[in-house]
Amino acid sequence: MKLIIYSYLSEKRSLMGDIPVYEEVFSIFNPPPERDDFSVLNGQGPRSWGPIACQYYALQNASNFDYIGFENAARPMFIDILETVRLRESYPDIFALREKFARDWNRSRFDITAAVLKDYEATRVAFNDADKARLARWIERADIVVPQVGNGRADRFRLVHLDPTWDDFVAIARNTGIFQRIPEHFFTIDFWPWHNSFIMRADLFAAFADAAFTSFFEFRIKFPGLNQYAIRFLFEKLLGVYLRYTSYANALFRKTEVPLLHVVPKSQPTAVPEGFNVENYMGINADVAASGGSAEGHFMNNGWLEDRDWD
Amino acid sequence: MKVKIFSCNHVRPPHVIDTELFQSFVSGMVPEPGSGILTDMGGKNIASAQKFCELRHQYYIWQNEISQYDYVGFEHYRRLFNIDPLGIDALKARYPELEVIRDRITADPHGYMVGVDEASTYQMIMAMRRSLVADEIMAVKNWVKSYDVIYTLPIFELVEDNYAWCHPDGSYLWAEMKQVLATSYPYSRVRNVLDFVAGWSGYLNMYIMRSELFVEYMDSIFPVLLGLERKFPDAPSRIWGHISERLLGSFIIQKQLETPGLRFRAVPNLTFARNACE
Repeated sequence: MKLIIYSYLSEKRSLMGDIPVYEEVFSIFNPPPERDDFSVLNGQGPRSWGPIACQYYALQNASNFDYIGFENAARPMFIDILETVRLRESYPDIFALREKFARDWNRSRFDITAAVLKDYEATRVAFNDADKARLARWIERADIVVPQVGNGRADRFRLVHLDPTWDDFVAIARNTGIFQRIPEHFFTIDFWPWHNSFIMRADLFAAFADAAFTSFFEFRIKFPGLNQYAIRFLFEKLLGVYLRYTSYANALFRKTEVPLLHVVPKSQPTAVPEGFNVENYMGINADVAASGGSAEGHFMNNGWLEDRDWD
Repeated sequence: MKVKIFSCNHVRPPHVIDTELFQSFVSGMVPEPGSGILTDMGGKNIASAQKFCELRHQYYIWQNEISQYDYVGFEHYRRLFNIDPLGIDALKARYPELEVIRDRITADPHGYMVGVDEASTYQMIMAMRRSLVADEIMAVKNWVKSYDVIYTLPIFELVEDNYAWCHPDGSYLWAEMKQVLATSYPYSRVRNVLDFVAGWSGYLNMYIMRSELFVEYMDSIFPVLLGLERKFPDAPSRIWGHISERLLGSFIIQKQLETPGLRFRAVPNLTFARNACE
C-alpha cells in the first residue's frame, strides 16, 4: 500500500524551528511564495492557498499512491500508531495524548505546546518497519481519516469568508464532476471537518479534487476579487459536502476520525509571537478587521486561544 | 470470513430473520425446529437469569458458539444497526423508506439514534436484509472486518449520572462495582479506575466485535457481574444488563491504550417504536 501525507509547512510552524526530516510516508510541503501568475496548470499553488496548494500539487503530481493525506505541520493529525511500551517510555507526553483521545474521542482538536508538537513529530521520525506496517494496515481499513466535524455555522471566523461566496461557488460546483450527483440540500450543511486535513483513498481524492479545482478556477474568473483566504474555507466546506454525499451514496463508507493537535500558548500571551504578520492576520481573520480592533490586541485576548492563523 | 449478527429477543418475535448475516435469537424459548430462531435452552446458558437482559444471549454465544465466527454482533429486536450495503439508486428504487433513514443519518453527524415509528420501515429493513445477495453480503463483511469493534454512538452524559437516573435505588451497587473493578482485569489497568465513571458509554449492549476481542470482553465482565449477583441476589430487575452497558466503554478505552492500530467505529442505532416491530 503506497501512502503519502503532505504536511504543509506554514510560517507558524517554520518559526518554531527544528523542522522534522521525514522519510517515506510523511512529506514536508513548502509551497512557493505568493506570485501574480495564477496559471497553475503544472506548478504548485501559491503559499496563500495554504494547505490547498498541497492538494493541487498532489492532484497534478502524486499519481501512484493508494492513499493521499494533507495536514498543516503546525496543526497535524494525531496519528497514534507507535507500540505501547515504546511510546510510554520514550514519549510520555504522547502517551498522555493517547489516553486523552481514548477518553475524549469525540474532540476535533487537542491543544498542545510547541514542545509536545516536536515530541509528536519525533514519534513519526522514529517509525520503524513494524510501525509503518501497522499504520498502513490502519489506514487501508478506512476510506478516509479526517477530524471530527466542527459547527461552521456557529463560527464567525468562517462565516465572514463563506457568507459572501458560498452560494455563488456552489452554483458553479453543482455543474462540475462528482458534485453534479450531490442533492442540492447537501450543500447547506452546518457541520464539516475543519482545516483541510485528511487522508483519503486516492480515487476518492481525485474525484473530489478534480471537481473542486475545476469549480474553483471557474469561480476565480467570475469573482476575481475573491479574498485569497476564502479558498481554504470553500474547500473545507466542500469536503464536508462531499463526505456527507459519500456516506449517503454508500452507507458502508468507512470514516475514521482523529483530532488535530493545535499548538497554543499555555497561558494568555503578553506579546504576539515572533513573526506575527499583522496584514496576514487581518486578511485571514476578516471578522477582526471588520470589527476595527487591532490584530495584536485580538490575538492576545482571543486569537491565541482560538488558534487563529496569520499565514 | 464468518460474521453473524444476532437480533436479541426475550419473546418470540413476529418478524424472524435467519440469513448468512442475521439471526433471530430468543433467550429462554423452547427450541422450535424449522422456526429459524436460535434459542439458548441448550448448552451452557443463563437463560433463566432475566436480570442479565441481553447479556444472556451474549453469554450463550460466548460459551457455546463463538468458535464458529470471526465476528459476532448483537442488536435488539427493536434497536438495529443500520447495515445497508445497497447503492443509493438501488436503495431508492427498492426500499424508498430506507433512503429517508440514510439521509437522516448523514444529516446529523452527532445523532446517536434515529427514531422510527412506522412498521412499514421495520418490515422494509427485514426485507432488505433477507434479500441480500452474495456481493452485498461480501460488502457487509468487508465493512465489518474494517473494524475491531463497532458499537452504538454514546449519549453524551456522564456514565455515573446515567446509571443513577436508571437506578435511583441502586447506588450501593455502583459503589460496589467500582470496588470490584479496581482489582479486575482489564479495568484495573486503567490508570485511574474512576476515570471511566466520568467518561462515556455506548449503551444498549449493542456491538459487532472481532471474536478474539469478544471473548476477552466476556472474560472480563462476567466474573464481575456474576460475583456481584451472588453478593446481591435481590438487586433490581435488569440491573446487570444495565451495568454491563456501562462497562463496554471502559473495555474499549483499555484496548485503545494497550493496542495501537485497533479500529473502533461508533454508529447511530435505529430505534423503532414497540408497535412498529409487532
